[in-house]
Amino acid sequence: MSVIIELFTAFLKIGLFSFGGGYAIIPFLQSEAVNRSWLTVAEFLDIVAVSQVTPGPIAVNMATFVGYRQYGIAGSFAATFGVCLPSLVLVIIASYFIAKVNKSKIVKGAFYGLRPAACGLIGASAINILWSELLPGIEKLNFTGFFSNISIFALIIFAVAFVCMFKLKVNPIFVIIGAAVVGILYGQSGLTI
Amino acid sequence: MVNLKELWKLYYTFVKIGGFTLGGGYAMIPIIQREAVDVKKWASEEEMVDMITLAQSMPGVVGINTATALGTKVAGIPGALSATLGMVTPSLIIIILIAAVFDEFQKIEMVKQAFVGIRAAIAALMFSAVVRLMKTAVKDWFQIILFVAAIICILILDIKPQYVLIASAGTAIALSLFRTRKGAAGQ
Repeated sequence: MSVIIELFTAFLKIGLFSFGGGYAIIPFLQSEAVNRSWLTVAEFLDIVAVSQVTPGPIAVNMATFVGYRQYGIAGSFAATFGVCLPSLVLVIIASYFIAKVNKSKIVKGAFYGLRPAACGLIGASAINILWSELLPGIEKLNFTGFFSNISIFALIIFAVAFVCMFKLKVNPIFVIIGAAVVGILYGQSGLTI
Repeated sequence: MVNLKELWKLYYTFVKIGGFTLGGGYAMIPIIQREAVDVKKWASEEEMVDMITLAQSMPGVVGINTATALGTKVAGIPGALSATLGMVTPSLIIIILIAAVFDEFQKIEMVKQAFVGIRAAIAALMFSAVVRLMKTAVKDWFQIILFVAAIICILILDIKPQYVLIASAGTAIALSLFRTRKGAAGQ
């Protein structure tokens, strides 16, 4: 039971602080789930991948997945309910004052600051993940062992995937499928770079 | 009296949208817009634009916020609950099915190999999301400072992300109120 309550409150917090949708949930999922040891960084990335290639809001998919891993179906319901509750309460209330909220100087002012900060938070998560996943063995800002542990293969995939999505505007789903195929081919070939 | 038929229609519409839209909340917005304005005639074009603005200026999942706003407009609180329930139903079913077999699936050698590639691609996806967001989120000096400060707070100072957001919103509200006051005084 205590796991259910913990899942619910963790995802309530995640829902309350995700501003701007989509990846805004990632820094909070990382601080709540990875730091609680609910997930390793690798599992966290796997869950992001599954949530991206399945239909539905990414944050809801991630909540359901993490909830299920911790406490089965009841856990997935608790996490999903938690992540949706702030939306339900706040948006229902705001809907009755929609014109006022949309014109509010306070809301506009808050977003002027929230947008860059939320973007920075996702950036920090991305850097954290790059460090721990692609450059294994390297602790924060500690570059000893850099060349012995670096995975050139993962870095190549990372660079190519980035160019495909950012410059060539390829749909992320195709990039993920492509990376999976290249991963299998590399694994089967027995090469180690 | 709550109209059950209308609630069912809301639920069913959002099950369809939640179950067939890939790419998350932002990808859903144009589909919700078309369904609500052109097909179901639940809202006018302008009302829908207002709801989308509201959905994006509230915390929470954008897809859920939009569903809740539209549901509230159509049928009050029961409408909001039906729409949101519709939106999460496909996610719950699909993800529970996947999560139930995921660990077994991950024991297959080829799947393990695939995920080595996938993880690197997801890291790239996050970086490309940040760079793309920066175009709209980081436009002047004040925003550059908040952006850099957020990264430093997390990576070096180990501050919890919620405090970073609260401090940024507070500073920005104070600054924008100060600017309007100064603007008003100058006129």
